Amino acid sequence: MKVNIINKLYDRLSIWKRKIQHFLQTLLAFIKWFGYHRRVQVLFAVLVISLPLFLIVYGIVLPAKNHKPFPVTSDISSDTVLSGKISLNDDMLASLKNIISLENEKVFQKNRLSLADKDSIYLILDLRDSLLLLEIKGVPVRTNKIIDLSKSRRFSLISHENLLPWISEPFTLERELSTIPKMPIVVKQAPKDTAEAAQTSSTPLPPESTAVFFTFFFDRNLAIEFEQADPLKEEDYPVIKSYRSKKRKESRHSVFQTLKSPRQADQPLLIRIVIDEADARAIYRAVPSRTHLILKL
Amino acid sequence: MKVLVVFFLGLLFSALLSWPIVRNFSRIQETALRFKPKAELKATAARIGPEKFSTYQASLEKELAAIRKKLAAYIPKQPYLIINTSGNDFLLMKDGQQIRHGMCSTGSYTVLQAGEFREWIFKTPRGMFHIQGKTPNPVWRKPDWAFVEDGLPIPSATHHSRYEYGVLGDYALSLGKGYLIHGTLYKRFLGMPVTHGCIRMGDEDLADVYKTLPIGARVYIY
Repeated sequence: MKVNIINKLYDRLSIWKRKIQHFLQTLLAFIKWFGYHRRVQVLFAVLVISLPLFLIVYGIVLPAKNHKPFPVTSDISSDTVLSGKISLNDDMLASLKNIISLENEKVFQKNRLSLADKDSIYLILDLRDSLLLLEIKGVPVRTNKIIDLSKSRRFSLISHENLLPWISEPFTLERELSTIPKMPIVVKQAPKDTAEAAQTSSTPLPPESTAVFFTFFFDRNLAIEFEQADPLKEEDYPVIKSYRSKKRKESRHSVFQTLKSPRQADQPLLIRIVIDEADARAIYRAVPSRTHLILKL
Repeated sequence: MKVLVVFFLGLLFSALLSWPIVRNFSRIQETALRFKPKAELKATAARIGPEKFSTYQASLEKELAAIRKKLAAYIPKQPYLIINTSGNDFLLMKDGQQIRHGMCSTGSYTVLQAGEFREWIFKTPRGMFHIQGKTPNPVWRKPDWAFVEDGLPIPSATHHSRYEYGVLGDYALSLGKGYLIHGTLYKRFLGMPVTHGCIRMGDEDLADVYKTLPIGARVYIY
């Protein structure tokens, strides 16, 4: 019986061995054929580089080359023409930098004033002092120190003349992605009688421990990524994986949008912020779904 | 046949090479932007006019001072309270300075469903509120949900079982719409979201908040 099984196994192995030998011989013949035909090699090389080249040219080189900040008004264009004749010495340059800083501050305080009149909770992102503030009616209720901050290179490419109108109104939140729910709702059915009520536990649920990562997508192409500084726990990985996969999907969608219109001027401006887990959770839970953001540059 | 194989292999390798580009698209775009020159300040100089720099700067400073003055009016002159419903803690503030910090309990975000059409959500409202009333030795007038939660029939509005003594601590401060800041018997739950929407505090914290905040004082809840 045992000998029979071993023989059958041996036969099968020999068949597989022959099949593999045949495949390798075919492959070798194919490679030899490929090596002798120069035209086929060229066709293969062209095919291989065609799609990556297309993506690089239409999705990266062209948008970067034609990158135009927004919003470009006709007034600014005419000023830019005039600016060719202006030369600035060091004192004038220092004075101009101070004016730019004052103009940014004026726009920032004006935005605070406009939101202070509304009955809403809003965010202030102060890139100058690395602070993230939560305000209600002009009163700062929470000030968070930003642990790490990085922003898109596009910011340094946009002139003050274009940046000023861009930040002159508060940004409005349009959509968001997050690892935690907006409200940690628990649904409870009312007990039928006192006996059932006595059986239900009155002990509160343990505090939430899910890692806090979220991205806010504002109008005028501003996106802000919030990440917790605290190290991740093993149970966080599936949630983070799902969040990152959603973000990659967004990114891939933008790739195809760019390919459809490679000359578009309004590429998203991304800011990445790292704050404490408690701060990130409080900020995410506190702001309403259509919250506003004031950006201080 | 062999040419066809080469064609499909070419397409396959092409797709494989493109995948990392698609995955890191925005990162590569950012790198590509390094080669663009940085924005210049000359357009701003042209708009203002170099000869008007000092007068323009002075006018900007004046405008800014006026806006800051208007904004300062939003900071309460009297003491105020800030409640954090996420961390379940509070800050008692006076003249923009923190005078007390402590733990509290806020809404549990429990949805209590009773049948098909009745449900309550136990959350603390957010925004700006005012202290509308202050009561020492408050008596709790139990709302309908308190009976539903205990599996009891709902009594009439004036029934004696509606009134419970000593469960709200020594003081209660009303925020309107039935929301109170009050004490608790369950001190071990301070710092946790366990309430039906009210804000619970420890005895000493509550006494200090009660004495410090006058009627009309602002309470900011986020």
